[in-house]
Amino acid sequence: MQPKDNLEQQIINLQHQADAETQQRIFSRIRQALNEDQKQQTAHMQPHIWSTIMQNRIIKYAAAAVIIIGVLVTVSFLGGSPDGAQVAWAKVLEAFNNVQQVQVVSNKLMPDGSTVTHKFCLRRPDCIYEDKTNSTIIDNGQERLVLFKNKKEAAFLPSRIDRFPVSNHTVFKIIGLFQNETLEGMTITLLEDESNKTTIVYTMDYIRPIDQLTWQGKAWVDAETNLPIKISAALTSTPDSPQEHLSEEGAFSYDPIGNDIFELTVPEGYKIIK
Amino acid sequence: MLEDKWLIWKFNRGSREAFSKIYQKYLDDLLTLAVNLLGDAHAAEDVVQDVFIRFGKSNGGFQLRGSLKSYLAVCVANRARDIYRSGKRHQTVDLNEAEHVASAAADPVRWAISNEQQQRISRALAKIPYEQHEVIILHLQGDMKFREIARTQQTSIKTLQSRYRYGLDKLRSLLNSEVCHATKR
Repeated sequence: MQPKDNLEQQIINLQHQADAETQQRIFSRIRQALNEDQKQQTAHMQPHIWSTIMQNRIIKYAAAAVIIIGVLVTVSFLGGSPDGAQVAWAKVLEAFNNVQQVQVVSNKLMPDGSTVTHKFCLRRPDCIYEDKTNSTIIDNGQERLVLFKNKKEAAFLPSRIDRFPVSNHTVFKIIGLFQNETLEGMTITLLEDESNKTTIVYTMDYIRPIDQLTWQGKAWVDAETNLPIKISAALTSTPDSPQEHLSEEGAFSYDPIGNDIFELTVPEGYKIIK
Repeated sequence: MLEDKWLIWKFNRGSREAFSKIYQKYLDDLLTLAVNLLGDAHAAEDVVQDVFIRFGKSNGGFQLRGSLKSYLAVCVANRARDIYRSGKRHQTVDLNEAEHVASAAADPVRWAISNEQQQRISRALAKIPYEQHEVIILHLQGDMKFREIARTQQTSIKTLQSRYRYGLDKLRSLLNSEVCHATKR
């Protein structure tokens, strides 16, 4: 894109703002016009509906229900004011900001056909629990315990939370994708046909910038909060590394997490090496 | 972008919050576009109102392809063009006068043309051919690429780019001649 010259910039700067009164006035006129349109549509439909009702008792009740639902939807759709808008997307963002803890259980299908399970428990501001195939990591913001499962060894290390805050963890980054945050290489598209009143379904197409590896996935998110409930993804290109998992499915839970999981307790049979 | 998809999804299911949110989100942008296309605050309000009414009627079956802002901007441009062609604007545009009228009429749109230079640009914009005026405003204020404008107007990109270039040249020359004229006086 070419840089804008001075005149172009000045044209961009020709901005106009509607004050609250203007906003309300235009909105009222829009609402009135839509209400009238709805009334006309209903009036136009009446003779046909009436003759149908008269013919069949079952249809009579069904049609009555349709009319009631139609009226309720119309009232709900047209009854608002611009002030009511605050609750829509703001509610989504608030829900994200209010997420204090999240648990993710992720199952990965490996090239050899085996499945590995990873569990993440994150609690803002400073607690992380990650259980992977060969290790478990617990960081409570003060200290970090790493358990090496194969060797049955445990190491106490300085916490890394100050350098890698919980809010910057990949899990929170993924959740943030549904709250208008972006990730290089990720394209998210809403799937109208598969969504319903409680769950919205998105497709996720990802090209990993570092090696151009491509993934395609789906996310099921809560329709009210846009918080993901389940995400599944599969590789759509051939990886260079034979260790790359072929597909992954993660289940998200936002229920409170108990303190015990973040306790730095060395399991029986482990040797403390540090 | 994702927010818009989510809002449209809700809007199609009868959510008044979603409709209101879309209205609030894009009202200023669309008013800016309409005012700068027509140079008339009252006509601009009517245009934006008509666009939102038509949009509101599409509730339940609205399909968004591309950006919602561009879609609404194109609707505003189409409606403004109709008004321009039918000569229903209140005047050919004297923004000084329009601003005065606007403030006298309980400030229907708060004109943020903050300095004299911007007023001169607005006056000059009204003097160039409408096709050139329109592409300049849609490209610079509607954030629309020439490709998008070409698709909606069924015109070639080259034609639009020429209109844009000639329009800006004409604007510069109008602004320069105004400066010369003022200096001579």
